[in-house]
Amino acid sequence: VNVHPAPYFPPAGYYPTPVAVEFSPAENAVIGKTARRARIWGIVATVIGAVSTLGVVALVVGMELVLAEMPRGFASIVPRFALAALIPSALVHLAAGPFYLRAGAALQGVVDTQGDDLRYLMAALARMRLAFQIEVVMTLLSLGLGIASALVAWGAR
Amino acid sequence: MNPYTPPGAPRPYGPPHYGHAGAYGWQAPAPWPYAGTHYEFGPAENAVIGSAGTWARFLGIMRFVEAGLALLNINLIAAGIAVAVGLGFFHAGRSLDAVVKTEGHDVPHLMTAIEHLGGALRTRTVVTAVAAALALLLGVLFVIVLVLTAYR
Repeated sequence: VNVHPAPYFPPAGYYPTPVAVEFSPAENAVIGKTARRARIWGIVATVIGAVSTLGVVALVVGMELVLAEMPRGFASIVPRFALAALIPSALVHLAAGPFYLRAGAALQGVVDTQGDDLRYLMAALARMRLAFQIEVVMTLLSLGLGIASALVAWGAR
Repeated sequence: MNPYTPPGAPRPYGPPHYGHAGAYGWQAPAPWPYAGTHYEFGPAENAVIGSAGTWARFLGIMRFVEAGLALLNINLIAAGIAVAVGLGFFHAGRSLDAVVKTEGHDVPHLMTAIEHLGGALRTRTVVTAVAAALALLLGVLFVIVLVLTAYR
């Protein structure tokens, strides 16, 4: 008589299968609110980014026309640096806006669908991360160029 | 004893009281009644959440730097707004990090992070909309003054 029972093995593929997460109505309300805010900010950021990029381009063209009349020298470099610092700060919203918009759409997907909450949530977080990355890099670039223009202006005195 | 689920072992995807095997048979697991509250994110998900958290904190710090620069310019309003937005992102980043670093409270931490993100985005939207409206108003006033001066 075999007194040692065979060890139990669960059915193949059962244990590691993730449980489908479904957020509760209260959690969905929080996610839905943030989804709406992300989409609104995405639209606002894209529009503001487009307008300020056009403004900066107009400023650059106008400044170049003015600087063309001036004698070429060290002082003419300063406004160019200052304008260069404005470009990333104008572009940042234009670049990050669509990612916020898409993150908001993915968060809304968490609320509207069933069985795919986790997938939509991860997609939303990945898009938000990209938007954050763009903002951080562009802000650093803008700060760097701003400091450089200040140093150049300091040297031109 | 089920070799896959020793007592007290973490069960990343299983319900809190996963049915364990008897000596000669296996007891079917009871359905998990409230998956949303007790879910523990896996390593791949934690990587996405942790990365988003890190960058959210960086963004918060960037806003604090902006606030410092605005203070140097004695622009208290811009500094206050930058601090408010920065705090939202920074807190969101910390909550997202807590999702990765802690166990047992992943969903509440995630909800806190999402709430903070929503708050930061709302502040940004309101401030940007007000600033854009003011800029538009000033632009219109400037054009009116220009036209009136030209015709005088």
